[in-house]
Amino acid sequence: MITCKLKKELWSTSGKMNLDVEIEIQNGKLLTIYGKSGAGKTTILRVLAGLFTADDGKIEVDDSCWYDSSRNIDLEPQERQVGFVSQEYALFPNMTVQGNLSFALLKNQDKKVVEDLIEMMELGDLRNRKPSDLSGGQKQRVAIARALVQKPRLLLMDEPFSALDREIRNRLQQHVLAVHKEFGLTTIHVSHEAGEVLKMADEVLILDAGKVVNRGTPESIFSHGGSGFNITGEVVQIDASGKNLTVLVGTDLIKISSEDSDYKVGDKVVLSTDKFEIVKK
Amino acid sequence: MQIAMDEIRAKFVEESNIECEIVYSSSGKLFAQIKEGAPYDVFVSADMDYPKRLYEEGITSNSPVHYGSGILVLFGEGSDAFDILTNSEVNHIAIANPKTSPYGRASKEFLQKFGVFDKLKSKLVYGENIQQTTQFIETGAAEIGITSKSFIHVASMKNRTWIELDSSLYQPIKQGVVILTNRSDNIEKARQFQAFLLSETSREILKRFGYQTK
Amino acid sequence: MIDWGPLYLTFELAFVTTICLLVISIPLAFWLSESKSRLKPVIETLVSMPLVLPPTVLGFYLLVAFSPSNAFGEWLDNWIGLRLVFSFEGLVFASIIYSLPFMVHPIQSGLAGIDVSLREASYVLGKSKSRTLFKVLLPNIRPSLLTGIVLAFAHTIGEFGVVLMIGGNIPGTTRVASIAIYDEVESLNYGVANAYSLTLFALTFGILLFVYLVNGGYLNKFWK
Repeated sequence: MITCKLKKELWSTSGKMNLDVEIEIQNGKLLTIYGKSGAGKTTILRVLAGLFTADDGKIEVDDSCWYDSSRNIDLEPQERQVGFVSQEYALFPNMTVQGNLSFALLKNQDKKVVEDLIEMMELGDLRNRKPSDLSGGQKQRVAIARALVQKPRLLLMDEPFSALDREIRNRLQQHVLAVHKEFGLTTIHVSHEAGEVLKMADEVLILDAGKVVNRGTPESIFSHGGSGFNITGEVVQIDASGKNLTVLVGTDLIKISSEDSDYKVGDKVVLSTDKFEIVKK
Repeated sequence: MQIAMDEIRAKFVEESNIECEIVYSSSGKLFAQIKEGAPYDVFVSADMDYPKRLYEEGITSNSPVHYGSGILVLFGEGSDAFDILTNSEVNHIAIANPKTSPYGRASKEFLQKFGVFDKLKSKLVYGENIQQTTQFIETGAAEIGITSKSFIHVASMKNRTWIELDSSLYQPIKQGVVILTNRSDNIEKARQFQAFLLSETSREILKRFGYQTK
Repeated sequence: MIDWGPLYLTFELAFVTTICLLVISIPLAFWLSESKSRLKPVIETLVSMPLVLPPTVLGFYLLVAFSPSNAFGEWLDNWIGLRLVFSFEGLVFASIIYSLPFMVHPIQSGLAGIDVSLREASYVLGKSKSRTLFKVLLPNIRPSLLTGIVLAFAHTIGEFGVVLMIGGNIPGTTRVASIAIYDEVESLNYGVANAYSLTLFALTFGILLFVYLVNGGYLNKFWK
């Protein structure tokens, strides 16, 4: 089990923000941290990886302590068994795909894992290419594969699919889930995409302005109670009255009327219903 | 040379009321500049060759006039020249570059005639001119060295022991002066300076500062 | 008859100095690119000093500092057997100081120009700082390394003021081309001076041209 308690004073474009969170994650689970940009999600990952030091707190991984401000313990990133997939991919330009993965190997680690990952992430045709010759989706697959070579104790992913289009995103989400299960990883995943959360997370944590405002399973968080159907979508059009919305769900446009009129274009919404009918097309 | 020339200049200005400015530089550089028309009126050299070449180029109004000769001294500790030079504790012996300095030429000649040149060749370090040679001796980078007698009066060398070297073992370091024709309207004043340089007053100053005069 | 000794000595000095500078400058530039220490601006200034200090000043202070007649110079001589005046080692030492900024600056800016995420990715993968420096960072700043090497090399070839002060013009040991040229001009042997100068000019021109061709990618087809 991994526990993390941290406090950090952050400065952002909107002013000062106090990050104050407490996170707990069971081994083998995938936790998603969900929130708007600037809520502090990336900071949490960087503190966990050892790339950033909090003002105060403690990080415990099973029986070992990675960070404890009261005892002046703060392990270097090299000493933590973390896999990190950043938004910038950060692939090494001077190495091929295979090179990037091999570089990640630990001192006496069996090289077979590189081959396994190349197969799992469908990188076979790309193994001798340099990062500059790869598309965004391909780069992201390599970045994920590289983070997994060491079968890390904790896998951290910072909005890894944000720059990709829908189809590739879906495929990669499948890949990641498959590897997560296959390797029995413990994963913390940051996202601001509700649909992604629903698809991938065992548990989700909502972060707002540096504080955890809700925590639970995706279904419990995103629905308004009751069984039924929950779909996420995005408001793409609102009529003059403000009550008739057009919502984009996947690639379908759905027209809905709502009692509240405080929606705006771009809002992510969850459509839920208790009753539904299934009809053959 | 500088201190001697400064005093000569001061006396000249006092006596003749002609304003006079001295530029100190290496003879080789000055030669090149004068040849290209640099605005100097008199060239006082540390040897006879450079002024002679200017005369051959036709830039002077007279052939070089010998105004004095340099004297070599050996700075170092010991009972005599041989003793000082052959001391095994000495690692570096400073002399001026024979290629570019008449004093260097004379120093090399002395060492050769004295019979120690081949033995001491590997210990020699060459100053670009006698100023730098003296600097090597003064800072102790070279334990001993041969330079112009004019340096015995310099403050930093006053406490060092020296020996005048046997002048029969090297060609006299004759130093010459010429009047330049680059600025023709100044020739009369230049002649006056040259005459003053050869006068008794100047000779006395030169002798005092370690040069030999007729 | 021209003696090619001084030219050989000049290139030997430049070569040895450049190798030494590479060894010294890589860790130094790395530290400077990463450090948040309060000492950093002081070190940066010291590294840049040889750019503004007249070479003769540097040479003069080295002459005084290493002269065996004072305590430090004597200690160096007695304990390490190292004499830094009138010796080739002395010229190397002086050249290292004199050309230091020409090697450190390009490498430092090259390293600073690499996105920090690359460094972080390597650290998170458990790789040490030095492993990261040699396997991830340096391979990605080849143009900067080349620039540093070439600038330091070419700058040392042109060195005159420092060598003049502490060299002693000893043939085969400290009589480098720049000094030899100066001597030949002084003794009015313009022909020989010309020969040395043209050779130096041609060689350094060739070196710089090579750098620009490589950096601009014109020669890529030879080793892609």
